[in-house]
Amino acid sequence: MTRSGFNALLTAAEGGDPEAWQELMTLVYDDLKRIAHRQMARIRPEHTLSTTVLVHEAFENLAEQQKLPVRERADFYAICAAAIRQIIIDHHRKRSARKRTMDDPQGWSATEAARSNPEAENALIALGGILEQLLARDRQLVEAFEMYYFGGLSSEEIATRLQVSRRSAQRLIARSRAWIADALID
Amino acid sequence: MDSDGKHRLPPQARWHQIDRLLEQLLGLGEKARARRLSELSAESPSLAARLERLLASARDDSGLEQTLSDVLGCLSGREALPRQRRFGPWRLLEPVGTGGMAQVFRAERADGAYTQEVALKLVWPSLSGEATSRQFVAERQLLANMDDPRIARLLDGGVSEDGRPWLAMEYVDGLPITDYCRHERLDPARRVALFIQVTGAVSAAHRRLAIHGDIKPSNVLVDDRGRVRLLDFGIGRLLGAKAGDLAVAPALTPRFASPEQADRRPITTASDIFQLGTLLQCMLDDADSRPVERIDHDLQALISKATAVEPDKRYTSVDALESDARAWLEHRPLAARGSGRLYRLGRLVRRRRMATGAILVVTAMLIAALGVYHIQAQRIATEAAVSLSVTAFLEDMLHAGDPYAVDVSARIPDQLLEQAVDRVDSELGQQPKVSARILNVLGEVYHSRGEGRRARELFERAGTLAARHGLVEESTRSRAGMAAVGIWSGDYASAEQALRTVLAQQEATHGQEAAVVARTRLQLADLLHSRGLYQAAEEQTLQVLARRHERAWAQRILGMILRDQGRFEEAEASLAQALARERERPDPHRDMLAIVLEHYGQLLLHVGQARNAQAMLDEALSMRRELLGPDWDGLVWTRHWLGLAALAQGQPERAERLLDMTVADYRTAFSEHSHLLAIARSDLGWVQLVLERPARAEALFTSAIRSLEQVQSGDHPRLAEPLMGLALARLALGEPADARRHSARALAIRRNLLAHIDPAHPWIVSACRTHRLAGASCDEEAGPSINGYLDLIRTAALQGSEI
Repeated sequence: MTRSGFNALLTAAEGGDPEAWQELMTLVYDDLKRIAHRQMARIRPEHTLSTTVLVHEAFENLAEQQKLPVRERADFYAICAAAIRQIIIDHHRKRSARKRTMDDPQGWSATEAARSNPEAENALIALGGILEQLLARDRQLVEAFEMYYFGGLSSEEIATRLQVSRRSAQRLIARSRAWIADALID
Repeated sequence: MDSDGKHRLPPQARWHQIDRLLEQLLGLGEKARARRLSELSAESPSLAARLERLLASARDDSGLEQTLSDVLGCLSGREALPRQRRFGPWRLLEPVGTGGMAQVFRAERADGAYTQEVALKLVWPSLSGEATSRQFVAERQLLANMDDPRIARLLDGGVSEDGRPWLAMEYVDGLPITDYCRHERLDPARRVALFIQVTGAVSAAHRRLAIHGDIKPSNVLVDDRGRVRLLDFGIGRLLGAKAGDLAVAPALTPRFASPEQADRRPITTASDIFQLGTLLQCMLDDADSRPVERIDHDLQALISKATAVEPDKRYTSVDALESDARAWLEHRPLAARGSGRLYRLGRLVRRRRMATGAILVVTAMLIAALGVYHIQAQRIATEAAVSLSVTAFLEDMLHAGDPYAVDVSARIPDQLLEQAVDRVDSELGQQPKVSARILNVLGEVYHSRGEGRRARELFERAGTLAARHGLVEESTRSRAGMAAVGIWSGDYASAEQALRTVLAQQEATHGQEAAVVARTRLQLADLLHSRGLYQAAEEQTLQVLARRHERAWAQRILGMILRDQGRFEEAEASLAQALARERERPDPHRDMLAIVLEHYGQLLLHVGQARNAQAMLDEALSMRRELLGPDWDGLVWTRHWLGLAALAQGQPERAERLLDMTVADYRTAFSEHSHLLAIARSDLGWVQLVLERPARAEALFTSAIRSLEQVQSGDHPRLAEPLMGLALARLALGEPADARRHSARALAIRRNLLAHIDPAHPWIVSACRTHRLAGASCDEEAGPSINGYLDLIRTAALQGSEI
């Protein structure tokens, strides 16, 4: 992916081209997963993970290696955030599918992961389920949520990207937080 | 989980309503918000409470932060590298996975000798026994020498500082084979072609004496060029070797373990064949594929054969499995489906699958059925109708008169059956329909075990219950059961009547051509044979054969009928066909095979081939023992025929022992009126004659004659045997006139049966000889040399001493 190619994709995605967005997502998706693995290996288990560390470090890393030509950090973070949301939803879908068919061969690796940290695994699946439902009800809510929590964007940056007022962006974040936290606590 | 109803948003309309209010409240100042909330509370307190909770969640996100942090940690696989980073020449780079056996890391060459990445497996501490043994090293060497591009090589291995074994394997970048199939949306043919790559690799390894032992989707990767790579070859055995036993590997992946692995029995190539079958099943079980593309019967037969519970029923080699997979691709017939007899195949395949734990299933079903009924006995009758479906499974397996059910039913523990009977009594009193059904099913189980008397009791009870409550279906069924028991039990006239009624009903319901009609007809033929009505029996059997139903069974019965008509050559041809059919089944049933072998053995005894007969009877016996356990003491025919074989081979003491037991067994299982009991007594009588105990022999023959005289209105053809024996016994006791009377009658019966076939038939010859021994004249002895025929052995054994 060349710099200009990436920027073209980004522009198209911002212009509302869903295919460009999709392509951008796949690009970041794999990178993000791989980087996350590497990052996690360095973090000692007792350290809790700040939600945005992942994305920020990924960016630093890629930028450092000049692998990822992006005009603005916020662009990249937003893409990463959406990618993370998608990873979580995919994980949830896979697990739900597995519950339906006992013989799903994919059952293995995930079961093993769950064995090492069953509570987090359960929370992960629950979160995926809620995000998926909420996405169907009100896409903007989820986008605000992921940018804030997964991408570490400020309410101002979010407002710009969603083309709403800052106060509206804040209310979006609060509402999404309310619904998601409420559902997770259940 | 959302699928449990937790962690879900409210229904859409409701959610929008709440969300609008939430949006509104978030836009208000604190005071206005409190006011609005109290207004809402007046309208709907629950709605207000819900909103308050949501507002609290919106204000404080510390809990959410924690959760998200955990979640992301989990997602990215929060796995710390172990403290030790270097293993031999390898340096850890990153964790790539966690398995039941080991943690897996990507690692690279650290000594700079050359660049290479490996998958380094660090065995969990619990799995690592004491330090490396010589076996471990030897096995490792074997694997390291394996040079097959389809198998990820084992490159290195050792023991970590804290005593955990580690293995460095070639690093393979690819997708698990099942993911690959899904991802590429392969059609079934391409999946099977991919599978053949796997069998090729496993087969090559088997030729080098390496067994994989843990074949599962995550150990079979496909790279981006569509090439299959097998991981973890022989690692299970390697660990087994570490534990000191090379052959017994731990079941690394319980879901994919073969039954022998699960039982910790030695694993062989047959375990790999089992796992390959399971792998293919996984490759074909694709949630995305449309229903039309579901696995066809051929592939299902292939998988079933590969995954048979008993290793010796699986494919004999991976090559054989592969050859069937290729046959499927090329639309050729599969070995797994056997030759011909397509109409039966579906059933066999189904049975095959059922064989997996069928006993446990039956046992559980019996318990469950009774448990369900127990609860429902207290509820309304309509619920009982629903619960009847529980017995449908049992019925399916223990279909009335289906001899193939014996393999399974014979192994249901006695205790359980008796418990089941008891519970019908104590708990099902209020539900006649359910009780009758269960009693019939239990009757069928006992019948299939050869315990006729017990079966009859149960059928009788079911019949009485059914009659009292007007249950037509159960009534027919118990009648059929009684009739089936009647084939050997003595009450032949009523059994025949019952069978003919059942047959008529079945013909009316299912038509002449139905398989169920054929089975009943064979039972009728069996019964007619018992009554000595050989021609009628033969006709019924030929009708079944003409319709090509149940051919092995029909040919066996026909062989028996022909034998007793003295038509030995035709009998042998028929039995040989029956035996070949039973042996050729893709799924041979040992019980049926044993029965055919016994019939064949009997025939060989009749024609004087005692040694061959003995071999067949021995084979039948060992099959039964294998099937039913070393203490098996159920079906009793084998002992009867072994007794006769002993007599034919000049071992009367052994014969006496065996036939004594046989008589006792028949008395328990059948009734005093059973023709089998009569024949066993007659045979024991001959033994007593040989042992020079004419008085005992006389009593046995007399009793046998009395029973056989009641079996049909005319003379039963087999009356000739005890009559001849009685003649000789009376002669020995100094009553020649009486002896002649009996021998004359025997001769008349034999002539009546055989004169139209062959006036010089060995049976006429032997009757003639007896008649002459008794002092009468008899001139029908022209014919071929007939020494050695069973019937003649009996008389010949006496010639020297008695006369």
